[in-house]
Amino acid sequence: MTDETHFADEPMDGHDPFDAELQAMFDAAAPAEDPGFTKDVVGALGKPDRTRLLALGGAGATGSAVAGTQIETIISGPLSQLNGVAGQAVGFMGPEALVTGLFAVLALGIAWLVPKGRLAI
Amino acid sequence: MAPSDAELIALVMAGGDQRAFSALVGRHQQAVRGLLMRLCRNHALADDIAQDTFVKAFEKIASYSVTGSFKAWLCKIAYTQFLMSARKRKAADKALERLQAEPVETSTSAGAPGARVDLDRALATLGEEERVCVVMCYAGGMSHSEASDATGLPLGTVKSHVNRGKAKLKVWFEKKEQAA
Repeated sequence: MTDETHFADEPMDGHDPFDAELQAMFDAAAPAEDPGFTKDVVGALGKPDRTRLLALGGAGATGSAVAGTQIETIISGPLSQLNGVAGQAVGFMGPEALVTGLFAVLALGIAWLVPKGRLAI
Repeated sequence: MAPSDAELIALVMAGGDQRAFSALVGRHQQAVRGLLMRLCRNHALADDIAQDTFVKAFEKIASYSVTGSFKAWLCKIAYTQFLMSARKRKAADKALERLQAEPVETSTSAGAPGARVDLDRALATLGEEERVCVVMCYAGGMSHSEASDATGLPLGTVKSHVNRGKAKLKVWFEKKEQAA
């Protein structure tokens, strides 16, 4: 495992024969390259992503279900008190539109995560 | 021609390319596993921590500074993971004392077992910080500056630890040779 960066900034003991001897001992004691290890690591990479995907999907589905049944009741009071253009705009929105909006937000969230490799789809 | 570390890292950063990361794991696993094996002196535990190290590196790849050595960055994560693992294991200190007294675990995965056991026994005679610094520089192939960055110890302290540790190892091997 001899490496060009070894002590590159500080070659203090370049002439010490024990330095080379010690490095040779470390190299001899280094583990052999193990393709199984690499496979295990790559296998482990997928697990958290799958969990995250399931968690996101579950949360999204639950949120949508709650929103579809409850959101109109919850927010109709405060919304009815809005005046002006904002109030009129909100007045046109039914539960379906709100759920659609939630899905859009969810989709945007996933679209933000996927290119960063945080989700394995 | 094989892609450079920088090219592979760019692929991982851009789209979480697992094949590129797999190539990086293949390229640096020996340094990381070797470092952890000398620190843990338990091959199974070392490989577990090494796996956690690479998974962590994949998750945190965006925080890697391209100007530094990727291997040193991995070794720094490995050392942090090792410390976390040691903290989790309440009996780590007791185990260390026991390991210093007992023959070190052997494995069929690496070369000359006798030499490896000798090296681990010799390393066990060093102080904790000396051992960490020596192992980082020789097993991890890190420079003194990189070891200083990874351990949080001042550069001068790392140099002293490495020199003192090396002197102790030299004496240990000389004594062993005389006894043989």
